[in-house]
Amino acid sequence: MQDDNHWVTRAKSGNQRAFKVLYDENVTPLYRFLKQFSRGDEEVHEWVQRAFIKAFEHIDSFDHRSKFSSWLFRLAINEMKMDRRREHIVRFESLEALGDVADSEEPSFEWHHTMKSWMGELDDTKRMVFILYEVEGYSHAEIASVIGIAESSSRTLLTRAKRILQDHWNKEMKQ
Amino acid sequence: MTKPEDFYTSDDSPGRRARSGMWRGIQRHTAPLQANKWFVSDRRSFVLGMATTVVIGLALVGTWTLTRQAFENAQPQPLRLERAYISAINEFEHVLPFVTAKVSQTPQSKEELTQRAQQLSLIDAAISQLRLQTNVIDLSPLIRERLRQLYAMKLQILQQMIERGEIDL
Repeated sequence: MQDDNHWVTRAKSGNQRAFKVLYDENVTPLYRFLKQFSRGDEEVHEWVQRAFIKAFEHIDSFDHRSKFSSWLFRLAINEMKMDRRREHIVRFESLEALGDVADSEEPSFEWHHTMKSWMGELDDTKRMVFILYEVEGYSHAEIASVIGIAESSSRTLLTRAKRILQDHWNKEMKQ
Repeated sequence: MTKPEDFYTSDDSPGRRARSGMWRGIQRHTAPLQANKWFVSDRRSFVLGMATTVVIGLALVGTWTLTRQAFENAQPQPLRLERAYISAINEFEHVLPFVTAKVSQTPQSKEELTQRAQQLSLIDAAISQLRLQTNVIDLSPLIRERLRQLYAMKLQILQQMIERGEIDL
């Protein structure tokens, strides 16, 4: 099985079949991630297609220092943010408010499927950090690069997201 | 860490139709770009190929000219002299068809012209015979001297024919 770098190199020379392989390998993770931020399937289709078209157009600028999937996620998130700004729907937490100091206390956290229904209470940035770290397995450094925030901000946002979900879970348990 | 299958539901993943539909949309934008890339690449290759061909052609012509000059300069003096005679005679002979065409119209007597033609053919026969006897690059001094005399005679006859207006230049 060839890795992404092999197919990216071939796609750089204009090989559309190699690009199709990259599409097949990355479309599902990207789609289901974006689905968590959309209001419908059409919107996700749009973001996915725009992200892949951008990737094809700018594949020469991909320097192989990160994973292709990370680069693709970054392109997709940029598309999503652009739409949100255009629609004046700002659901991203102000990063200035976070400061540079990360929340030091890591809450004890365990995922329960019920928590999915509370994800909507997290703003987009917290939700992104939570999914990328907890579900997709990205490191804080990778998340920082994908979303365009500081690594310390990624840690802080993750801690806060977990706390919100855990608090909801604790209340639910008490009832 | 949470496993993706614990977090995402089956509704979150795209079905086969959705995946194909999105790919078709992507293809519509990427296919022309790809074709354009190939076109640009082809055009560049064509121009480079043409330029390379011209450069190689000029280099070959230059090399051939230099080699020929070097080869001619390296030949011994008697051979170079003989080549000069042959070259001069060939130049005269190129215009000989005009002589035969003019024979009946010139005021000179037919007999005189016929004699000259006979002389020329005799000289040609003698030259051919000498040439057959030996190799071009292996001429003995005696044969070489005889050939020079024949060439000179032939040139002299041709010169006279030109001076008398028997050859229409």
